[in-house]
Amino acid sequence: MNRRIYILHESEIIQKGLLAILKGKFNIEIIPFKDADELLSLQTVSERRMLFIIDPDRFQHLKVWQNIKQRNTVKLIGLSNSANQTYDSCDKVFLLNTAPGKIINEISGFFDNGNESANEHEGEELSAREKEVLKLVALGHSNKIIADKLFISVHTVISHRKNITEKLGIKSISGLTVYAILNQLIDTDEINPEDLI
Amino acid sequence: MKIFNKNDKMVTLVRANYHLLPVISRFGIRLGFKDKTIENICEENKINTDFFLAIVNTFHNENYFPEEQFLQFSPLLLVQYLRKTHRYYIEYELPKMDNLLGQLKKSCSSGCKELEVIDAFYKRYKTELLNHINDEETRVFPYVLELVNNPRSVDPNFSILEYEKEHSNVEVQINDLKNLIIKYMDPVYDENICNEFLITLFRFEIDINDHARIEDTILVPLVVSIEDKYRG
Ligand SMILES: [Fe+2]
Ligand SMILES: [Fe+2]
Repeated sequence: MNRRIYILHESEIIQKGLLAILKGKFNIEIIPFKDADELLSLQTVSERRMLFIIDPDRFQHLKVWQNIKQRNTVKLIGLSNSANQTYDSCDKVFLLNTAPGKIINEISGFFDNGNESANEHEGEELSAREKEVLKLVALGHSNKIIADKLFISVHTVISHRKNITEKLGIKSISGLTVYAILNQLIDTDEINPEDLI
Repeated sequence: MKIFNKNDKMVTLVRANYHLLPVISRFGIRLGFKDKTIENICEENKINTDFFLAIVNTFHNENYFPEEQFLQFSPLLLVQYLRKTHRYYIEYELPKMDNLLGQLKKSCSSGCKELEVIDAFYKRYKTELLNHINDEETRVFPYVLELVNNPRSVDPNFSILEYEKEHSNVEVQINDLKNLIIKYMDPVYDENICNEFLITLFRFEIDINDHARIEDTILVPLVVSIEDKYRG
């Protein structure tokens, strides 16, 4: 997955300091942002794993967060100088005098989790519609053809496919085909399985 | 996570992470380290110690990225290492997996159709991986060598960015293969052989993901920086 760290803080000292601390520790692109306007450029990106280190007093309540969170896996870390303030929009808050190691570990934890593709939907039962879609995927049909056959939009097909992959923990088309054969979703008496995989 | 340095003993490297054994072998270093340091052993084997450290540290800790160090190595060293890794996959790891899967199929006495399907999937994975490797050996690496040795002779319209293909396909497939066996296949086989096969897949996945990471995050940027230098 596409991984990024963003630093959103108006203090140049804090921004440069964080950059110096984090650079070299992670094999992840780190992008400094000066003001909230720059966040707008992220409205179109999707399927990224993004971590934001922000000044919560200024930036925790922006509208754009909702938009970014819908299409990406996001973690907000607040870096604050007041201990008696709570920030409900942040996933985690550190005081400015926190040891850098703590923040580094928090970041490692977030990105390591992304590697072990533990997703919350894995293990859920496929719906009848999803099984139909899976069957057609396994037979090698394109999204367009699947959409036509089931009288649904291409967009809906794509969203079914995303759910199927998350529930089964299988991502490749040939892997899904194997799953469909193992679970008798397609009749292998009629088709030679090796032609499909 | 520990970052190794040249004064660490070679033996601590293996104790800390035995997955590094094949990485060390690829450098032509043999066991029997005694208490020699990494630097001692690299010098004895005429290996660039910094390069060795960069490779083992990248393997050991996937978030470790010795940016500046790496940019000082010749891409030729990297290509040499990557080629050795390919050979190790082709001559050792893939035949080992072929063999274990063959044994697994033999161990099944009835209802073995599922294993045939898994076998077909494995074969497809293997074909794609070999195509990818072949593409790098015949197109990507020769281009890098030419760019380093003879920068003005290479076609300025080509870039490594077009040559080096994505790794996501093969990465996804090996993960699917593991999941299909662990989660969805009926256990109609000898479990010890199957465990051996899975453990081999897990180890191979660690190794090959590191290999892809070196290509994507070290080789490609290094070559791009050389391209930029000559193309202004
Ligand atoms: Fe390669
Ligand atoms: Fe590659």
